[in-house]
Amino acid sequence: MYKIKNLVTIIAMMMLAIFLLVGCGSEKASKENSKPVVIGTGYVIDAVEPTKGGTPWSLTAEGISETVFMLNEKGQLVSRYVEDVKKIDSLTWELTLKKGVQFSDGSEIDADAFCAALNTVMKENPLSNATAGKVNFIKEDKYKVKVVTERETQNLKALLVEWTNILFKKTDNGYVFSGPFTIKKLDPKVSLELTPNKHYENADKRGEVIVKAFKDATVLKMAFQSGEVDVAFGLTPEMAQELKSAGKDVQKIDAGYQYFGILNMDAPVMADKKVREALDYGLNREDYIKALKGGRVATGLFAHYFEFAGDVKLNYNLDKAKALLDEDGWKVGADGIRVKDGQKLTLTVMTYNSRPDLKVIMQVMASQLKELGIEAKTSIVDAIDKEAAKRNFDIIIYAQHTAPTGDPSFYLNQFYRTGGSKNMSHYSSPEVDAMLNQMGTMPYGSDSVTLAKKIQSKIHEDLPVLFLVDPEWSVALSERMKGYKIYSGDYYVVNANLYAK
Amino acid sequence: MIHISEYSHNTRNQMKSFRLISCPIFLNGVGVHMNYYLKYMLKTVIFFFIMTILIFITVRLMPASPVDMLLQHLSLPPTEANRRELIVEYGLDKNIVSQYGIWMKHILSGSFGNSLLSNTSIGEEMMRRLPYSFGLGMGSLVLSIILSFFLGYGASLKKNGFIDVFTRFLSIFTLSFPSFIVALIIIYVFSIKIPLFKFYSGNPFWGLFFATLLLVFYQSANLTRVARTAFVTMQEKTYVKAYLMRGFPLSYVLLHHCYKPVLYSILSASISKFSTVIGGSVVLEFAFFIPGISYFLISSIMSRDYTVIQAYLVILFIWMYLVHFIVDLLLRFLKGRDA
Repeated sequence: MYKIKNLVTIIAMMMLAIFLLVGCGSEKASKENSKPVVIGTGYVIDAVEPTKGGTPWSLTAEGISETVFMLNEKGQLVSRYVEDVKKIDSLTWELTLKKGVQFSDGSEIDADAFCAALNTVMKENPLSNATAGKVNFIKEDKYKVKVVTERETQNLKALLVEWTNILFKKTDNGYVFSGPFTIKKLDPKVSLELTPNKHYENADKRGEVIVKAFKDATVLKMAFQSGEVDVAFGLTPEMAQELKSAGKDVQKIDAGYQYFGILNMDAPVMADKKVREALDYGLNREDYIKALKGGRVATGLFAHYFEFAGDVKLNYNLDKAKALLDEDGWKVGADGIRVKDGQKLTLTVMTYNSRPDLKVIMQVMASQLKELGIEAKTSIVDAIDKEAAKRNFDIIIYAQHTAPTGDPSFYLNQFYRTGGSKNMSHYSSPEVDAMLNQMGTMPYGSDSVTLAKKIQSKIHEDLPVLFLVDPEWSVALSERMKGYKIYSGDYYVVNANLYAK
Repeated sequence: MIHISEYSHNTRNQMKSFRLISCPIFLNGVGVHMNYYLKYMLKTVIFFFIMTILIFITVRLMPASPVDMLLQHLSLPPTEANRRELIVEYGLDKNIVSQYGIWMKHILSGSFGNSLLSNTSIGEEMMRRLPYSFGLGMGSLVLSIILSFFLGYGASLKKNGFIDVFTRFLSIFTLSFPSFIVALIIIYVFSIKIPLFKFYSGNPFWGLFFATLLLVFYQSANLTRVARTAFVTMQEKTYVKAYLMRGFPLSYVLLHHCYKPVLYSILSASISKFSTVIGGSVVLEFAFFIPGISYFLISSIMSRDYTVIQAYLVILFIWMYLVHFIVDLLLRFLKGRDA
């Protein structure tokens, strides 16, 4: 017993000593770390490979790299690298580069560096070839580049804003990029320490930044409350509300993503336009906005701040929705569910895990459908595109940034052209196809904007999709980060406006 | 009636002879010895290869492939052309046997290869993260075993005494209250209400400290009841009664002459917990921002990074194989006539 007592005393003393030693260490570390701006988000890069998979997307989102063109807060395309874009013929363009723009190592991004980076992207990242095939960048003189595309494109700027097309240079010490920050230390998928890129405009105004990946939104909220996180990005609507009620600075940002309901035109019930119309009238979008604690009722397929955003006005009218179903022969049964020819009106509604807001919408939608006398079979999957291909759905609640390149044609062609690569509705309209063809021949400008709006109106008329929500996301900011603006959803979480205060 | 000195002597001899018989390490006779080890090694190698095949197949049977997940994540259309490009890039176009062969080459070289999606070295990633997860899991389990032994001992001495009631309460509490909620309460109290500790900046000491504490709390609550039951059972043994009749206090007899069977029971009950040592404390790693293996693993599962998931399962398999081997030896050592 005596020996045991001694052992316990020794263990207790050792634990106390370790406690004090490490405690002092952590205090020192916390003092050292009190200066950088800490951004809490859901994801941190795991590699610095500029042509590998989705890495370039993350490098830009975290302020390390930049695409040749970028979207600004107003949804316009701007470039630090290109002064002028000139179309020579259907497959050839000429770019005039700005002088004096540098990589983070101080070397100039002239035509040589520009072509080297983008030709490597085209060669090594197959996803960069999706829009215009393999694009060739040829140096004409020090600041002039000839661009030759494999397939015709009407908007080269939109091609150059695609996330794959970042500028970088391989050096003996690894890769250098041209974003507002450079990597100081990377703990893959966990945390990323950034230091200002000295060769970027206003570098002296920026301080060090730490980006941390929080896998749980509750933990992120608590880290923010404890003062250890300055910018909390990825909060749920409830958490944002809670923080706001506690007097914290919580800002709404335009997500850029759009939430919409894809209707399966092959499914027997959904092929019936009256049912689709009934859904359009009978689903109150305001309920989704209330549940999400923010956002706008969608007026089309693009975020409201784009000039090509739709101007459709959705009218919620439950009585009209019910009348449409009645007219169509769907009569309310004893259990409250509508029946026609002995068949119950049951819809399979699907969504997926990676966008939590969609699950909220699905829950609300299920109760709205019940009110309409429709039974909803709901399911949540991981790979929604794969499920869509199986065609076992009536409605898929989907989210996508519909104009990350500042151009409407890519999304419209993918989702609504007959046989489009993401046409999950299997929608086919000669009129829409004709308008898309027309759009494909005109340069981006007021005419294509008008046409984009017209296409959205026609799509709303035909209803292969339900416009749902133009969402807002919430960002909590500490006192010293007041005024910092994240925009375009999660595309520019760390951006050039992140100044130290 | 056996005299105390005789009992101790007999028990020691029995234990010694038991070790000699049951444990191959102590076997006499070179032939038997070699034969046993050759068979054992051969069985292990065959078992290892069967397991790697099963792991390889199981991971590939997961719904949705890395290609599907990446295309969805990047909002790219799952066209045949896009899929094909990625399938080729990830080497998934090779036939399944050669994919397995390449993977096994990496496993046997000890490097585990590179992540399918990010091209980073899996071995390096694992080595960076394993110390946190392993330290947390193993440290808490060892502490739990020690603590539950003493708490079970205390609880068995007095039925419905303070320790008995307390440990019963702990057991019910831990069964009904998830550790993640307790972790959040700790963070709320010690980081937000009374800002004593920083869990999300600086070094991860406090996160590790509280996570270990919580794991010890949760694991020992269950093991303590096992230990208590074992100690109570021992009180019914004839030789224990003999000691008591001779005037030895119960506390002395249980601690000095009943510890082996009790440890046997605790270790047996702990075997399943060893599987959680590597990556089994996901929620606590998330809550306290510990850069352990769980972070890496969960995001790899979500993106279906085959090579990372396979590497993790192989490591887990090797670990559990070792645990079973070592615990088996320990149990054989502890198993006396009283067990």
